Amino acid sequence: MPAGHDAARLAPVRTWADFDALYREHFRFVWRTVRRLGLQGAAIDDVVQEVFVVVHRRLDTFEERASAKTWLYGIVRRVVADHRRTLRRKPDRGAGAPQGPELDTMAAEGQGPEACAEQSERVRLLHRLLGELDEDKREVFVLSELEGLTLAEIAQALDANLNTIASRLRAARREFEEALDRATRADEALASAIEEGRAR
Amino acid sequence: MNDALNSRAGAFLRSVQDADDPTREDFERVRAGVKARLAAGVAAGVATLLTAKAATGAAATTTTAAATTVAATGAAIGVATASATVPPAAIATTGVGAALLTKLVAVVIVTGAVAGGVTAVVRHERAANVSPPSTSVAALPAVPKPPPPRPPTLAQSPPLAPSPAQTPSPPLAQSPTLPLAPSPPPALATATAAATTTPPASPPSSSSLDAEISLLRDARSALQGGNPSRALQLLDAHDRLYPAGALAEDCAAERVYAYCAMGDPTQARALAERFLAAHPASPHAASVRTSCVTF
Repeated sequence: MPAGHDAARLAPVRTWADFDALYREHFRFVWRTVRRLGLQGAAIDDVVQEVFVVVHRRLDTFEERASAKTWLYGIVRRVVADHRRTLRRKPDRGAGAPQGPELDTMAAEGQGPEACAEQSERVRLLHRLLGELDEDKREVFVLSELEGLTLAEIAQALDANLNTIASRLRAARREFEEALDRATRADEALASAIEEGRAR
Repeated sequence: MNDALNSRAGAFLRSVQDADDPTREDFERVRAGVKARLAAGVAAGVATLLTAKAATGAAATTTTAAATTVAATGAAIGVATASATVPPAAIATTGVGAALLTKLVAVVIVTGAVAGGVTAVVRHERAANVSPPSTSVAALPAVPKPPPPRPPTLAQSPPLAPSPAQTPSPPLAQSPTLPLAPSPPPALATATAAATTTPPASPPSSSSLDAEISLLRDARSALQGGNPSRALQLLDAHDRLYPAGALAEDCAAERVYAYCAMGDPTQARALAERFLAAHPASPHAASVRTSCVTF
């Protein structure tokens, strides 16, 4: 679509094509992040969908930003917060006991059942450990350690002071390490699964 | 960095780095859901407009102007006869259903209602691989055979008279008051529902129309929400990007209302005069004439 794209360079245009390009590029980031912020099951779909509806609405504010991820994460965290508020108002829906691991992502990797079980054990552990961090530390930890954003990017995404982010990340790392140690001390099998992953 | 994660935790994280990745199905399912919601959003926004305009009683009279297109006939009669409780846009959207909306964007524009009828343009865009849903046609009121493709308004006035903003290279050849004149009218069935549509005239047209609609819709809601300066920004953006766009006329009218709301009757009057000179037979003419400036 030559017309649409030329126009897009001049000024933000909210066409489906522009939006779809953004979706294709960043869906994975949004999906992963939403899961790592602790959403499960159908709530992941709901929240990711809502994120992109908001993205579409705000697409005209996007071009000014340097990094798509920081802009997107700003939206993600608001949508997730809204979702949590809604759940608190309706405690009977969706906030129940943690569900089992979601194995769908493993299926495609062609692993044997054993490796798959170990991997799902690790994923479950990851989510549990992330769940032990409070929300502020959790998001900084996820963005830094799992998504590779720089501290400056995170500070921008959260609209927070760089030093605040740095100290939050430091604290999150220590808590995560301690929680990992506790978890593996309590469970030898888990420990060896982790060592397995470490050796690879 | 001496405060980095210890090697054990680092190795653990590396082993689960990509474990939360979505599958292809996740990607497609959410994308379809987003698309359906965006399409519904456009339809819902316009449905509100339709209802509001119809409620003024303007659409209750005979729908002469509504004959501009087959699609417009469907929309206008739907509004007029059904008392606007269930605008066709809403029917089309619900009829199609989220699951089937994967490749469909239904776009309804109301260009304005005046004592004489409603002029509407309904454009549908869809990609070739959509399986057509079946229910929505039945949900619409029976639409009489369309009148001849040439709308009556066409004979009376030059709808494409040069407006201040127009340039010789329109991305979309049609203007709202002259929607189908250059091309043969689509079959009735294609016009009555989003379900069975004609392919877009050309991809750039439909995507720029989509963008134009977004801008106009947002400008209207900004204005209705009491933010005329935001509305003007959006209208400026529209005119910059689509000086000869299909909705240039609608935006010009909206601009008059925005200056009225800004408390700038001088500017509103100047723009209204220019508008009426350029579009004497516009469906917006009457409301422009009776906006904050009275002629």
